[in-house]
Amino acid sequence: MKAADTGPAGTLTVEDLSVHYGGVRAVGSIGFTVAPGESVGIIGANGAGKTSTLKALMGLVPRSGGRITLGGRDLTRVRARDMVRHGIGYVPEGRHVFSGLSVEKNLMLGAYSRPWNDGTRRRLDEVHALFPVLGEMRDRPAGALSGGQQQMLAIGRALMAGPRLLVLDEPSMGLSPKLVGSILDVLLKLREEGMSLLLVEQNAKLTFGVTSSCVVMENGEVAMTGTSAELSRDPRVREVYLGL
Amino acid sequence: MKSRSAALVTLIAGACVLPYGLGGYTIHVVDIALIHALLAIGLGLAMGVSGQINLAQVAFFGVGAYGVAVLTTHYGYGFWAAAALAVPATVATGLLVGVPALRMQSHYLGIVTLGLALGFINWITNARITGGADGISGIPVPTLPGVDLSSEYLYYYLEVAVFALGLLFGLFVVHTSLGRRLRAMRDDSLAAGAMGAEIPYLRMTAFVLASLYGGLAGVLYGGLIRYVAPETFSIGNMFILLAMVIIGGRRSLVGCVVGAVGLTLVREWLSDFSTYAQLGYGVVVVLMVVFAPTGLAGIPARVRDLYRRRAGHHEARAELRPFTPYPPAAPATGQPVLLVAESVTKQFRGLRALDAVSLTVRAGEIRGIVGPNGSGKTTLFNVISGFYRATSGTVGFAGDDTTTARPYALSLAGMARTFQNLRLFGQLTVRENVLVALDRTRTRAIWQYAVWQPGVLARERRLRARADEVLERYGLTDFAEADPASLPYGIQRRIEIARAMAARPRLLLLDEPAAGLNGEEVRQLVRIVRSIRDTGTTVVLIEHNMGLVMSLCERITVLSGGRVIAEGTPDEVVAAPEVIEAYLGDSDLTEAGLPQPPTAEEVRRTEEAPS
Repeated sequence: MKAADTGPAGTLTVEDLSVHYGGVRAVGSIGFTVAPGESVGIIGANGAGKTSTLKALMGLVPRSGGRITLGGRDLTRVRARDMVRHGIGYVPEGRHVFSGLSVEKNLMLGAYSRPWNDGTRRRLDEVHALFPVLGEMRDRPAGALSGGQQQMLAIGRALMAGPRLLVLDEPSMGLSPKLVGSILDVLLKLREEGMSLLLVEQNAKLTFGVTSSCVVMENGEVAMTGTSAELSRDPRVREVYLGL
Repeated sequence: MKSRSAALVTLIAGACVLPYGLGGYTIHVVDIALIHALLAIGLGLAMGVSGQINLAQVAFFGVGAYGVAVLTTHYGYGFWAAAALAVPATVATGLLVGVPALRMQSHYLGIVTLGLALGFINWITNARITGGADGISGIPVPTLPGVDLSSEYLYYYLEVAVFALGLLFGLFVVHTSLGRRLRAMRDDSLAAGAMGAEIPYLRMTAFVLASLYGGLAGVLYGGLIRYVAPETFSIGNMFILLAMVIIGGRRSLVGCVVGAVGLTLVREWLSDFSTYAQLGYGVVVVLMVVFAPTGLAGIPARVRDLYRRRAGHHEARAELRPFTPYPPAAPATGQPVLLVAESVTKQFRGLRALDAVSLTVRAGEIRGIVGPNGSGKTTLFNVISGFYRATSGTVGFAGDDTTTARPYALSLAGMARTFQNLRLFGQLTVRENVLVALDRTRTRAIWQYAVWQPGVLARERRLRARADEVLERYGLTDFAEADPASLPYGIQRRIEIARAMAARPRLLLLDEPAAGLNGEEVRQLVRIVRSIRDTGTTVVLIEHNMGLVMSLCERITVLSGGRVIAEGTPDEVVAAPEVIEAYLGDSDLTEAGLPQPPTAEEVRRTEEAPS
């Protein structure tokens, strides 16, 4: 899976992003950057605003303020369905595969923003190489897959559009320890190939295994940032967020 | 509260003086509007509140009206005697129309009820007793000592009284236990069943309510117009009725009333352009469904939200507070067997999801069930809790054979569960979610609604106080009025546990309670589950977080490919090579992210130590 086959990856810059639900502020003016090939994690307790941040970034919930650029291009006004054309792939929390469609159709839908040609066919082969199980089960309805297989399908589907940045929300949720290991391997492989990753994850092993730096969120704001190595040694992070 | 009662007084005064300013024709339109409002309340109760697609409301209206017409003109009954028979006859019709709802839902139910309505229209157009296409005229004027009800002005007061009682009763139903169950059934009938809501009875209740209002409206119509003919009960009018409910807002009875009155008035204004009017309703309905799916009734809340956002009005951020442990009960003695599954097999077409699985859980135990994704863990929960019927094998709970028991029966017998994919009732507040489970009364207790409303209210007050206790204990007080879908996964999981425990179960089944929780939250979960067990509730949990399973469970059952591949103490199970091969992989349990599991020795020490 080659990242950046649609041009050079740019830096994702999020500035002053905020989200309100009714009168309640879920995210207040947060900012961070993801450089090309970098992997950034967002950690924090439930309700800290991690998922809202990702959804606002993707344009899936209305933003009450903020600016988003990717490689200098302003994406603030880009609609959710067009984010994929700008090279951002999204794997939502809870998978959301099209359960009535076959595995193959789910993957093809991931590439619907592109013409079906040799490039997309090659990408399908690459996804199959990354997740052999998706090739074996290509004709099964996605709803008949186990939770772990659906998670792989959700990642594979996002990769089909050839993103330069992959945004993942809790990819390990509900997966067996062995499968968490497989997801970790896949994310590491993608990182090696130059894909940028933005990861929200509760599993500390996966977060610190994949990311180079992390943003710690608390009550909708950035409480601290640092390299993953520093943060994994920080006693407060260990105590409050990781429960170690 | 004060402004509310002031508004109510104004409304009542307005309703009383309204006829004084209106001409003869206008009061006729108002009389018709009130009849439509009653019909719309009935339809709103069935469709908006209970989620039962009912396209036979116009037939219920017809049964009421024709009932009065036939009984008075053919059989010589007085108006009131005829009305007293016509309304129960309509309710009986409602029960019949409701029977298909026991087997089918959504658009299938819509087609069947539409078919039944068409059958009714066909019958009244052709039967001799109904006067065929000519209908029946000469329905006598209802008599009331000292009041001449042939005056449409005075008839208005009769209608207002019936309408006001009908609206009050409807609101009373919606905002108390029965309505809450109906709404829970609408949002998620599976989860409602698991909380003890007797789904078949509730579906029938929805049709009884719809037909009761249909019958009342029909009787009033008969007395007002004193003539009935098939065209009043046509499918076209069913569509307008549907439009009233959708435009007004089907989930709010007041919205239904506003829609009914509004559309009746608009229809009168547009009566010179009737060809275009029908098209106009169609356009308005489409626009409403697309842009304001909650109807007119939902608009104030949307405006309020918008205003708050614009005004930068900030509410305090709600916070999940720590759990307060239950006071421990005396430990169960003797540890009788509570749950038994014996060689349970579940076959889905070509897939054998469970293959001769046997499981015995003793009272007071915390049992863990682990296994790879797709190994049949949730299927086993679904068989135990009555969602699936085992292809072969038996399940026993608390000494009874429950292999074929329905979820609501198991809930009433003391079994509660949570759901891996979160099944909170989306349109109910967090408090209402808990109230659904707290309310252990049987659905047949709804006779109280007809005869003893203060009893219902008193019980409602007790339940609310208890719900607040449950929310407080689980640290959810800040979220009591929140819409659960807007909350983060971790908090929704906590609500699921609180809701399940509100049913005071003997057995609690937890399906992946730690998914999406971070380390500290997992530690809190451990405290919650321990405390639940200490109240005497037996816990069976499915979980992938091995740290949690190791520190909580006395025994662990490992499933793989639908079979039990290992069972034993945590230490025995994690050492078994087949478990490592199938489930754990090369993952190191002591690595970051997994709270260090205490050894069995440590667990014993902490449990023996006086706390």
